[in-house]
Amino acid sequence: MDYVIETKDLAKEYLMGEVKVEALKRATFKVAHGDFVVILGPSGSGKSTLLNIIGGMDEATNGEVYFKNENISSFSQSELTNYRRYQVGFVFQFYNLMANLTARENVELATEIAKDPLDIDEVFSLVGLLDRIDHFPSQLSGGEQQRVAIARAVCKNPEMLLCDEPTGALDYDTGKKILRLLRDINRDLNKTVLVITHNSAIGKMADRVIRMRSGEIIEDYINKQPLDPEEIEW
Amino acid sequence: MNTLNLRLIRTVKKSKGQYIAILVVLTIGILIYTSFNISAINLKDSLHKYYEENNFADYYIDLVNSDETTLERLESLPQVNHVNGRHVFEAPLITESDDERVTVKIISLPNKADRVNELKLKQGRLPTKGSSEVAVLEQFANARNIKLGDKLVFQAYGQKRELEVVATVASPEFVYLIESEQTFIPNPINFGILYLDDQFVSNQYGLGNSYNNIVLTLYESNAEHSLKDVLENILEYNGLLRITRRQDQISNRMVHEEINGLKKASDSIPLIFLLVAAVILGVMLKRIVENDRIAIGILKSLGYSNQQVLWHYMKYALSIGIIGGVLGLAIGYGISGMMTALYVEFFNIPFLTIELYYQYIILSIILAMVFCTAAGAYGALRISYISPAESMRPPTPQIGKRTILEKIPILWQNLSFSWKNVVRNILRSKSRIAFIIIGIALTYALLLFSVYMNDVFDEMFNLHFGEFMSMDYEINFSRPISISNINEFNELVDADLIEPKSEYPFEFIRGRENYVINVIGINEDTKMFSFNDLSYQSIRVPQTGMIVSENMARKFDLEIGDYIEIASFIPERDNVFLEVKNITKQLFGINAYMNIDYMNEMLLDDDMMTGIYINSKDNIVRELREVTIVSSILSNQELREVFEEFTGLIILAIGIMVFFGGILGFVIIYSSTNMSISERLLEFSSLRVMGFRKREIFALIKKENYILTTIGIMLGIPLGRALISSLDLIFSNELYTLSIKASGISFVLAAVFTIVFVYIAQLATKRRIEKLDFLEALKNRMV
Repeated sequence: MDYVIETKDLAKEYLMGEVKVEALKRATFKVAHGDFVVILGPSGSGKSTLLNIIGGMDEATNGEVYFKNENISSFSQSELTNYRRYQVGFVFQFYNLMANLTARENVELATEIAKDPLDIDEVFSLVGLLDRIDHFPSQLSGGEQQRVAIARAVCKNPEMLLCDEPTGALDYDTGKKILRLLRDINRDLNKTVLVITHNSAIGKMADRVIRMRSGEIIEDYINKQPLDPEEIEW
Repeated sequence: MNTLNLRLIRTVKKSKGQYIAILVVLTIGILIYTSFNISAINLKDSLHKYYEENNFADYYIDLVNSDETTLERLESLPQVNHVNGRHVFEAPLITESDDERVTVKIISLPNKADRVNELKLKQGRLPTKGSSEVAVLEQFANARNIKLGDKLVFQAYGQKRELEVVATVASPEFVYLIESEQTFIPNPINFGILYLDDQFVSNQYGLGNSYNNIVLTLYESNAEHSLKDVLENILEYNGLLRITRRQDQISNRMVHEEINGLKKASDSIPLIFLLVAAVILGVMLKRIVENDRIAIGILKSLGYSNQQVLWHYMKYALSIGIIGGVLGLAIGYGISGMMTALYVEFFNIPFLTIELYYQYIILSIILAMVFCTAAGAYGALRISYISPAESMRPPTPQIGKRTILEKIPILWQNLSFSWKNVVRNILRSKSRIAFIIIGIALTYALLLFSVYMNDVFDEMFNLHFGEFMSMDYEINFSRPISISNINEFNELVDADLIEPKSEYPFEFIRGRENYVINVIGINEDTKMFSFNDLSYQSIRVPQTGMIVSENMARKFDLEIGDYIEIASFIPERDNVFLEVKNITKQLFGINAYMNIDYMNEMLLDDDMMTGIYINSKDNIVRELREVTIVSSILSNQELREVFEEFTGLIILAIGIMVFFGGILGFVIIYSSTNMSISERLLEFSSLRVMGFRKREIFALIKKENYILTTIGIMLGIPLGRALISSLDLIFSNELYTLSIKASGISFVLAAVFTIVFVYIAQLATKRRIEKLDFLEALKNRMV
């Protein structure tokens, strides 16, 4: 089987003042190409830490992460930068758009350094925002801003999307639309998508669910019958 | 355009006030640097071109007499190129007004090709051989409105002569025209130069070839070795009075003092501006980076490398460096052209050389870039340490600690909430506060310095020509006469007091140092001078030995009780050693003072005087008009008046300095207040939610600024004093000593200026509080 991500005994410790915090303990799992994976867990369960390490944003204290059989834990800073640049697209809970750039310019920020970017207009029409492409973030609603953020992540044409609570700041209906968009991108563009959330309902739409608590993976299973985003409720 | 650059431009637009503020300070720094430096070089080049083309003398020799053989011997020296003998003497010019005294220096024009100190003809033609025609120095002609064809009458050796003006001329010898080292400021209405034909002067006064002044040029002007000893040997029996090398020639000295002053100023003042610009820039960039934590995280998560992100922020700093450098250079170059033109006119140099010096273009840009790169690096280098994952989390709140004042309950409990807020903020953000205080202190020091400069020359003149030398008139004779003649003057003029003086140049020798200094012999109980020692205690003229001026003591490293050798100009007379009995404060000139009787006994032969000092409310000029022995009359009152006209020029320069100093203060307060408002948006928004009014919030900032301004000014006082005393050290020389203390009013005035500039800067930031949208600030999560 072709795995995009494979982690082995991944661990992360922080020093908070004089207290040692174990944010992640021996996390081992695999993600296949084209999977829609949801990592579930309450606040402080280590899921963001896990996502950051997988995305090359943070380094593990112990263990290894393989991206397509390549050990990214041994990457230098510049290799990690290249990894983020070409293989990973991030989507954050608070969208994190540049306030003084328009929607299009926010996306251009990403495509300018990508090797084989997608057409910006096509992606905007995919996320349904073509008519608002020249608006500044302050002129867009939360859901619209999150669409721009997703467009920014997708446009680079990465291997996978890593989404940190993508619906966390959105209302129910908008949240569902964003999940639909992520699902479409996963299916239509054949991108691996990892979503972390504390909302267990979202697990129902995943191909695979990883459940975490206190830095440990407590459950890892394949969802035989993933639901459509429209079918799930919370 | 690349999107990151677009973002940069929008960031600059958003904070354009601060961006422009830093840019202005940097531009000022660079423009002072380039304009002063280029002006100094242009002035020097113009001067040297003039010197070269007009055979400016390398040596000036004053002697009792010389003849053809002496001149030939000098000419035969291998180093010597040209030698000219001249008759030089001072005489009163007879004018229509009886009350006016005008002294002219008559110089005979050698009938030779390749004349030393060749005149630059401005109008007319030079006097013909043997004629009673005269060429008038341009400054004097302009000041007195003397035209070609005018008749001038002067009186010398007991005879009146009428001369016809046939030319106006400029001379490299008198680019800065002053009567003596002590007068310091040109007064071309009352002192001028007349050039007469050599044969005419020789015949009229029966002087023949017995010249009292020799000028000569060398093949190599800048020869290291001195010809002085050789010249002294040759002239041993000619009554050698003084040998002056080109670098000590008074006019040349004055221009070079100005050039050096410009150079020194261009080395120090721009540094203050560049440092302030760099510090503000560094602090500002640091703040931008802190505020942009999440944006930096996003960029890194998108795959931008550390270098790319760092470069993005460095460009902010470097753009200021490039724009400021180029602007400063362009404006500085323009100003240097104007400055050089002004200088060349002021110094009467007929050549104007204005060139662009590539090394200054490069240096200015490098200077601007170095400061901005350093500032940028300080502000932005932490980007490398921001981990993308870390940056997405909200920053950990600063550790809250009790401030010192909070530990004194009585004091703390009696403070109102707003004062507590102000005090906490001041005591917590130490580096920002230190920056503001230092900035205000610098501003104050610069302003104090500017105000002081306005005071200093005024004070110096009043002190020198009012207190130190309190005579109303100083009369010089065309030749020494017996002291006993003083009674005749008592009968001639209605004077309150008349004292004799004897003034001669002598060469002083100590170790390897030797220098010609005017020794002034005066009465032991003189009322004309009031000498003060270095601790400002009054001192008397000693019976034996001498008093030396402070700068003479410094030059020869003399202390009270030391002996110094004095070379006699009288042939076959041994050198004498005299004791330094005291050292006196003296602002202008370099002199030694002796009891006139002791001076005559030790250094001269007879009981002679070379002039007198007079205190009189009478019009001395009219009364001494017919006294043929009088060659010049100096009036202290007149010197002070000339100076007052001269200060008009200085006031403009001071005005510019105050303006620049003010800009510095403005920018410091404006930038730091802006930064403070940005940093405290959440705090202010919370206060607004709690019901604080906008003006109450603005009052918090005002209180803080006023406290810091007060502390800044208090620190600025010693800083300004240090700046002033460093100025004394740097600019004091043998011609003048800048040791005047700043007056109380200067300190007050500088404080008022500082407060005004702080107030204006504050008003400029008020708009931001007015526009504060607290709801937006509280919920904003955009980067």
